Amino acid sequence: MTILELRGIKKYFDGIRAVDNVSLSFKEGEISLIVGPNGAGKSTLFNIIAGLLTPDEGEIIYKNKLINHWKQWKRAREGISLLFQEARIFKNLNLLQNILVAFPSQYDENPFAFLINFGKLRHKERENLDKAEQLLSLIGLKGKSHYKAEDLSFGEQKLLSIACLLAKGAEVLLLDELTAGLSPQMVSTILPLLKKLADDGKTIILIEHNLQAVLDIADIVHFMNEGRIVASGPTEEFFQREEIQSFLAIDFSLSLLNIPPKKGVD
Amino acid sequence: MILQILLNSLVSGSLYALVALGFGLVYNTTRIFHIAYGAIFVASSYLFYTFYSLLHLHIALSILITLICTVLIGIFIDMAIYRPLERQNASPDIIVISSLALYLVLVNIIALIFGNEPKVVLETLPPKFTIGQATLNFIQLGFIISFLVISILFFFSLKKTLLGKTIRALRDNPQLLIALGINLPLLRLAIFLLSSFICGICGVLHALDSAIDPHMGMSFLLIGMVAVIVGGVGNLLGSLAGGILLGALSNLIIWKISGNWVDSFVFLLLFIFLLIRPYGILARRRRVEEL
Amino acid sequence: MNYFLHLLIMISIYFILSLSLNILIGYSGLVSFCHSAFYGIGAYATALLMMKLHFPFTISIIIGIALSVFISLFPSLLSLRLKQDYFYLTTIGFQIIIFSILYNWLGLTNGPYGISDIPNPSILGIKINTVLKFALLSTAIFTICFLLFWGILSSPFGRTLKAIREDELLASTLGKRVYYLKITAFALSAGFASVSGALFACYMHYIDPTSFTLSESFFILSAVLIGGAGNIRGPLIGTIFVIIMPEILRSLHIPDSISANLRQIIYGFLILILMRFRPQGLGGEYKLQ
Repeated sequence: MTILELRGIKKYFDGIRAVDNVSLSFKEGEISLIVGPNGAGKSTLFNIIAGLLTPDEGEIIYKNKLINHWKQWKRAREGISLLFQEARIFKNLNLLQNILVAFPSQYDENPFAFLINFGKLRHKERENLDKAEQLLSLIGLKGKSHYKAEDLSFGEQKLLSIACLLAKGAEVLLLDELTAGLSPQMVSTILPLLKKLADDGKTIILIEHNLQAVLDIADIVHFMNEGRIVASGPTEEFFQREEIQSFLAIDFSLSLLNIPPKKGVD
Repeated sequence: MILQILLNSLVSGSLYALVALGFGLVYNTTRIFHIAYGAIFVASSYLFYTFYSLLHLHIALSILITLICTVLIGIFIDMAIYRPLERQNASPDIIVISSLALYLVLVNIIALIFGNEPKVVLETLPPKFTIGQATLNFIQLGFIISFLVISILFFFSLKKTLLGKTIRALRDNPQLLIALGINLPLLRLAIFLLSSFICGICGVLHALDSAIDPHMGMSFLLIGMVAVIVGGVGNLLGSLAGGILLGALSNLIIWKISGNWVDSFVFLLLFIFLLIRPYGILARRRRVEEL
Repeated sequence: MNYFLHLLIMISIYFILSLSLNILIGYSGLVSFCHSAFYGIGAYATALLMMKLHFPFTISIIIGIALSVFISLFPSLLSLRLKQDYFYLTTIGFQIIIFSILYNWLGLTNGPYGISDIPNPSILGIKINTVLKFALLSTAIFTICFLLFWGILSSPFGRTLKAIREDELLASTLGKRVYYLKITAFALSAGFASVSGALFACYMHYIDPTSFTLSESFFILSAVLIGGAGNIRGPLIGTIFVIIMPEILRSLHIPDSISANLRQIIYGFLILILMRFRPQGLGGEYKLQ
């Protein structure tokens, strides 16, 4: 079942075509991989799906609804979840608080909830606390739950932001450079998690430079260059294609040398 | 009658435009919300008062020394307060609060030295001349001439001189400037120099025109800030235009309603503007993040 | 004894003001320069309702809160969608407009002459007509407010505000309605500020616009910043500091005429130093970064 569809998405920045007529569709339970050189427009595409940028042309269809006018928070509440390349976390809050914030809650917006719904609120808070601690164990950071988020290493912050996404509840996960900055250990903890999410029917879209890590779990690969999708196909046969191999030779060696992707138009 | 109103508008508009230009110069290039600018304005009026009225120096000498001191104060503020804060990556909130704190410290020091009551610099009315049914005195003419001279100088130098072009580039792309080998600290010095210089001229002119008191800076500052936003953030000539517009508006309010409500109407204009066209005259739709 | 009670009353009033401003600065990350405008709205609303319409104190205070909350929508709806800088300018502008209205609308507020002979409040039939009784009243009201602050700020709402302060964009991609939450925070702080205004009016029995200026907003801001923002104890520490300081100056026999200017210089200077070297203030948690 197609859960997310992009039709003719175009985005220009000062005349440069960051995203040039991209049309893609994503199914439930599918893990898609988007690869391509730096500056190809991959992150821009993610930003458009998540609502951080508005496309100049094109439609975004989610669960059969046109969502172009939906704001970020609405898309997030409906299940679209973006993992930032830079591992964004709430720096001055501790790990537990970071995850607690992420839980969707009807009590978030009511300053007097503690008066009106005292019993239910306390119950929900306890529940969330348990879930938060479980998530922290999952990512291996339970012992550091009272550390300030800014005191974690980059990789740990990345894991924390993944945990927050899981806490929020996601139907579609947009993971931008998930493995960048993670140790091989951390990667091997996360990947089975993703596979399980996909098995439960969630949709995962990955932007990756580190292909080794994700080839096993990706179902479909899309190659993006200069704003366009130039090739797509199921993983097994995709990388056998000659033109893909030559494109990737350069990119692959870059990732071997651990040159981080450039932050820019991408 | 109409001519008089028009002339008055031009006169106050000139002052507001120049105040706006000085503030906008700093804001557009460094993004600093330079509230202390209001204190520099007050300082320059009082410095002029000291040299001219208290020490009885020759008027040209007084103006010269005042301008030099004003520029030094402005540059000092940048070096002692803003730059260290920026070096430690302070957020805009911290810089604004510091700027406001600095304004209050300076203005109150002036109040301690000179007292809170208004002082007058020119004891006698300056000579005036008539144009049709309207009158204009020499100081007011000075306002208009200063405005015209500075505007024209700015207009040309922004387009033609290296300094002008680098100032325009600084807002958009500081990294590129560094790459091109432009000396950023020197450029910043030039910006604060120019801004304080213009502020100094405003302070002197105002002191010659009306009574001064330590707390007058805020009104002018606010009108300057609104003029910058209404004229279009990033557009220096827009700040000038905004100033003239607000000069006209305030005179209209004084004529039709009362001097007491000028500040409120200026802000009302700002609020309406924010509702309709908050992006400024450069109406390009900005990324949600950039807002 | 009365002097001590006087200090106690002023401290309670300013505790509420600084804790409510802290909701904006310390929890939502919004620096507002118009807090004293709401302080003034509360004071004038209470005074006018009690004197012109003979409403009892409790009803007047509640209407004052509602009025403040409603009026807070004007600056907040206008500027919270836009860049920070517009918010600063809007709050300054709003402060000035409210001051202008209080100063110039003679028909309503009596302008610079102020409102005098504001009656003593009556609570549950007891007339609060001595300083001691008022001190008890203000302490009681402060305690209620304090408990409310504590509840609000330790709840999910408070936690979400802190998240917004840390990273708005991240918060919105986690599904939080940042705009709506900021408006709520702003309205909350306005409501509490007006409670302080009501207390002030009934204690002084006289109010005029000069108590509700931009300088006053800065004074409250100083209390929050000196004590530190982001937690409950910071603003309390800061308030005690800024209330006690003028008393110390007075005991050094510095004349009142100079004292006002001197105070602003001291607070301003302190703020400059704190912002540079210790932005979390004396006891706060949030470094305003």
